[in-house]
Parts: sequence; C-alpha cells; structure tokens
Amino acid sequence: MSKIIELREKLNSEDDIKNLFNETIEKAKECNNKYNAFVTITDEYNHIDSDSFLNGIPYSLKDNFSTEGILTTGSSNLLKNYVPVFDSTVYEKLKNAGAVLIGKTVLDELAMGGTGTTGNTGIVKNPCDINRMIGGSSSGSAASVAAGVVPFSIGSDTGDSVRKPASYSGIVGFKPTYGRISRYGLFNFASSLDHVGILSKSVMDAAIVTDILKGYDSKDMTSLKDDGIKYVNEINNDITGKKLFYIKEIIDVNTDSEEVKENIRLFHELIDKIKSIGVFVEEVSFDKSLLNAIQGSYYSISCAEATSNNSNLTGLPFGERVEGKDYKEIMLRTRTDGFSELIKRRFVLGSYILKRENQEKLYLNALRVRRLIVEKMNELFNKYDGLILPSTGGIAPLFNSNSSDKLSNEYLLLESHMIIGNFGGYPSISIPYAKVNSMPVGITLTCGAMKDALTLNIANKLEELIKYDGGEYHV
Amino acid sequence: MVTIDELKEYSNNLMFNMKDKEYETLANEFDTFLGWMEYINKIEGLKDVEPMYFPFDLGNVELRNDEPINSINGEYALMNAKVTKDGSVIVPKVVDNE
Repeated sequence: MSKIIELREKLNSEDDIKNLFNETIEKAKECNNKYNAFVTITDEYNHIDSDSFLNGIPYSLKDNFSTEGILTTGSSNLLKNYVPVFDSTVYEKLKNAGAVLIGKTVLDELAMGGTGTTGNTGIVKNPCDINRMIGGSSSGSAASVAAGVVPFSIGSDTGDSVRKPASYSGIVGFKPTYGRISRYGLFNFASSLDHVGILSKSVMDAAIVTDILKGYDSKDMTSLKDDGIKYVNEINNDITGKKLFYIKEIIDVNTDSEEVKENIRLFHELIDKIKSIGVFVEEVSFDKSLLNAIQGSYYSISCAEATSNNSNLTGLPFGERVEGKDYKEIMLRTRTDGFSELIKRRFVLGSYILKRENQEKLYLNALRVRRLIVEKMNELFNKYDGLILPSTGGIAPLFNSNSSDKLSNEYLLLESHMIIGNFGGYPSISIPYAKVNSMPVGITLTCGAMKDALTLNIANKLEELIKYDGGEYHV
Repeated sequence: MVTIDELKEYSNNLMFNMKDKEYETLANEFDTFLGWMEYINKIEGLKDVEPMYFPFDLGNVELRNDEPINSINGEYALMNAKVTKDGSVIVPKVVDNE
C-alpha cells in the first residue's frame, strides 16, 4: 500500500497541503519527545507546486544533506551551528517535485556508526520498542517513517546505514545502484561506498521517490546517466521464472541465540513460499575466506576514506571554532572538543591505514579483497537475478546489551553481509518479512549493478507475497 | 602491536587529543583490526589482484571545458566562519615562530 499515493489523493488544494504540513509538524514534535528522531523540525512552510507524485507530500531528510539556510549538523558537535550556503541535489530535486521538508533527522555522528546512539543530540529510540536501538546511521530517518510521521525519508548508506535501521524498525530501506542518485551536498563519509537511500513504508513509495531523484548531475562526477526507466511502471512485472540465490556460508550460523535461530527458520519458510509462486531459489556456496574478510576490508576502506574526507573539519572556514594561540591550537582544540570518541578512533585507524608503510598491507589488500568479492558476485549475478538473505541475524539490540560501535571479533556474517552491496555498488533493498520476539526482521534483496528496476520489481512482488503486517507505531 | 604512545602521536598528527581511557579502547580496537588484516593478508594470490577503488568503471566521466559552472558569492560562502575580515578567515598568526 503506497502511503504517498494515499496521501496524494487527499491533497486537492494548497490549503490541504498546508494543513497536512501543520499536522505533520505536530506529529514530528511528538515523535521527537518519544524517540528523539529530529535535530531540526522545520518551522517554515516551503512548497513549490508541481505535477509530480510527491507534490505536497511531507518528508524528512537525514541531517547530513546540505539544505541552504537550514541547520545541517551531521549530528556532530563540531557542526552544531553549521548552516549550509547551498542545497544538496537531493533536496533541490525534492523541492522542485513539490515535496515538503518537515525536518532534519538524527544520525550517528557523521554517519559513522550503526547504533543510533552516537549523535550529539542523544540516542534515537526504536518506535517498535523504546528499550531497543533502531540501528544507524540513518536512525532518525527510520524512526520518523516507522512512527508514521512521514511516508518517506532520505538517508545515506555506506555499509548498511539505510537497510539496517529499516530492518530493525519494520520498514523498507532501499539504496539504488552507486551513483544512481547524486551525492552532491551529502557529507562524504567514504566516497567510494556512499549511497543515497530511501526509507519508506512500501516498495512502491521507494520507487516513486527514486524516480524523482535519479539521474546524472554535473556536480557529482560519480553520478550515473539516467537509465530512462520509470521504476513505478516496472514494479508489477511478472516475476515467474526469476532466479534468486542465498549464500550457504552466511545462513549456516553456529549460534546460541534463539532469536537468530528463529529468524533463520522463518527465512527458510519464506524461501519455500517464494518457490511456490514459480521463482527459483537456490543455495550457493561462497568462498568463506572472502566472506570472513568483509568486515576488515570494510573498516580499512571506510576509515581511510573518512579520515581524508573529514580533514576539512578544522573550525576555520566553518564549524565550532574553539580559540587558541595560533591556527594549530585552534584546530587542535576545535577537533578535540568537536568530535566524539568513536569518530576519533575511526580517524586514527584510517590515518594509520593510509601511512605509506602500511598502505600495501592494510589499504590496498582491502581493496583487493573488495575486487575478489565483487567479481565473484558479478559472476553470480550473470546466473541469478538476485541475492536474498535475512537483513540481520538478530532483532534490534536492547540499549543495555553489549552491542556498540566498538570493533569486536564477536560478529556474525549475517550482521555484516549487507556491506557486499556497497562494495559492488549494487541496488539493495530491505523489506520487513516477519516478527521475532515481537520485533520486526527484514530480508534483503540485492541485484546486479544497474538493475534497479528489477530490484524494485522483485521486492514489490515479495512484499505482496509476504503481506507483512507489523502494526502501526503512530506517535 | 601498536603502543599507546604511537596512538597519541597519530591523534596529535590528526589535530585532536583523546583521553587516556579512550586510548586504551583504541589500542584494543587496533588489536582486533590488525587481527582481521593479518587474516586477509594470508588470502592466497592477493598481491596479484588489482585494487578496486570504485564499485565499477565509471564510464560516464567526461572532461568539460575549464569554465566555472557554479559559484557562490565569497562573502556568503564565509558566513559560517567565526572570524573574517575582507573576505578572509582570520587566525591569530600565520607565521610559525618555532
């Protein structure tokens, strides 16, 4: 069920749009009191009339997308008063399509985390259970959609930052092919892995928004030429005869967790259901030594790129400058006060990786692993239409659990496999499919690069098959 | 193994300080990370593989004429700088006496 179309049908005049904006602002305030989803709730009604599907539709935007004249903090103390002087392409396109921004959402600081607990304005709570994390880094975006404030939100996904919080809160999280949507004006985390993503209540809504946002942008040299396909028109194609696979080594988990076991049992049940509608699903074996290298390679590449990208945060041209006796002391004090511990740890790791004497072993070998994994995946995508896996192993962790952003050897491949989608720039979508211990769990479908229409088409059909009813978490 | 003193030097080069306890957490993370990389470095034939910097070949990158396409007024661009004068960011001194 498309929430966007449902809302659109009720909007017949500018007054209707303004009333919806005002109602949504009230919901956003309530959502903030309960879940701390927003950094900024927009006071100003700003609507450009258009004939698009999104005309008059309220939405939220992760606070790492530049919005001219509107506070954009990256949820970092260093940027807590930063007001951009230009618009990100995403914001510009949504404005021109008539969508109405209602607020900027909390993220893990500078998008470098996966818990929703490291933003400078405090932790984001999961609307499905306020004692649990919502995951990150697009934490507030997920909370604002899951809580029913907005029908869609824009996030960014470098490892799984759209898909994981979507899975933990029972909504859809889609990241199209790398470059399909311009990154101009998005704060860079790791430029070769960063994707713009959409969080919504349905696959159809993710398609509607992607149709508006996609296309080449001369301001982003990594953006792709438009493929000329209107995804909403392809979403109902018949998927009989399509071929999916899952990876044995990721699913074969040795765990004591009853929740993970239940998730895997439900996943196998779903696979049987998918087969029953004429879709082939096969188990495929993947070199485990490569799968076990995903986590290390990801940290190497992302920390290295992040250290370099964020070296512009000095407090001099912008940011929370802390005075000192000279420019060096200003930078030292600004960065010491401005970054949280987690960010500093990631930057030190990245800097160490990029040291000349370490580059070969730590950085280039990570990039070599990336190629081996992507080449193997590309081979599989020549044979199959898509990869299907549970989005995560377990359900959203409790705040008082051991789950944190500290690096640890205690992790399951099931918790980190979505990184494959970023390594290869593949379109990848998480949709809710079941509940475990009363909490939502998702499946992730990933297809070959450029196959965005196919990804949304298969996901839409799976959504129809699953008929997930997670209940509503209205604020 | 990376020592705490080395970590302090690295963070100092990155222009920030950390608390002693934070360096301990960081040292543990380094052990974990270097363990992962040790595992990766043992993958057979890795040195013959070409590093992958981007997900796929970005075939659409085209050179354009060297002409400005977007510009922001200088004064406006500096509106987030705390201390400016005549279109420049002001710092206490720019010549290091050391």
